[in-house]
Amino acid sequence: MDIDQKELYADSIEFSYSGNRQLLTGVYLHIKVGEIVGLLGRNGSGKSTLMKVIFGTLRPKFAYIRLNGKRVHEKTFLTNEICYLPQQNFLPTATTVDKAVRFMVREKNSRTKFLEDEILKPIWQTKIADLSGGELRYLEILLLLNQKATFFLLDEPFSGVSPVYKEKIQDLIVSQCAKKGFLISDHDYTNVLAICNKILLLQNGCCRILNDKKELELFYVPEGTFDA
Amino acid sequence: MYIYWNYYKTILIVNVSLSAALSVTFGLGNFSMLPYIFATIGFVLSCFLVRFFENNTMYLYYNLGFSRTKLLLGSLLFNSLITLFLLTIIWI
Repeated sequence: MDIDQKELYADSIEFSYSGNRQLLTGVYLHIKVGEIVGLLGRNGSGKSTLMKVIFGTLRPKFAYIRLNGKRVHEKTFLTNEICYLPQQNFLPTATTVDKAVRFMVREKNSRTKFLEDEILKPIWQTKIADLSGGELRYLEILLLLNQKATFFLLDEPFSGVSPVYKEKIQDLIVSQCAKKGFLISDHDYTNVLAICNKILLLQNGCCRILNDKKELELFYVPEGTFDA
Repeated sequence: MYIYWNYYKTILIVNVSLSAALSVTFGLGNFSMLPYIFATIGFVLSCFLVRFFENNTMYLYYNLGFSRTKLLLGSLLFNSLITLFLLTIIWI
């Protein structure tokens, strides 16, 4: 299959935590290669839950997920076509950057790119526990982008990250955009809006497609936020 | 195989410590019960503890395309091999 034909299609996603109100009630989303989709929504609207359902680590009440034209019946991550960056750090704190890279990137050629990276070079032998929030987030995203997956679900990639690293992370995502598709959620919506080419607003358990950021003023941010 | 072993290493460290402590406690100071505890309750308790305290690192394996069930089955295999080795040492 050609890279530009690849797509992630999710429809009718319904989810509720046991005993609680229904959090997701028929969510629909569609991501193609080359798209950076910004997923916005208030606290508790279900952004992380939606990502976990699509990734396959949360079992929904119902979900129709299609990846590259084929319906996914198993956990989506088993297809190796999708990666997920959770809110919390996922690298073991006792290991070093060097070992983490060697563990996640098996090809020697790809690993040399890491060694040449200006951010990773000085911290190559540092323990994960000793990295700053920005360094760790940058490393995690870089490791994920080096997997063979086509679609990436990034849950709060900019949280707790300094402005310099936010820019680096944005550059990293944009540089990979031609070959991959992204779904990015972050409370710091300005960073998401700066790079996304499609905006989704998760509200009342459903996704609303917004045509431009000015429309966010109707549903999400105070009026006049985007007045230049 | 490398991925399975890496996951099992965390369980192994916990299991060895737990099994040694339980073996000394219930075996009244000797290690004769170690392989049996290592293969049974030690393994189950270690898996539970690793799941509880290292839950977020599971995303590392999920992103590589490995499910928890697959990893636990791999760990069970490694654990059984080490148990066999320990039992052989005792029998010799």
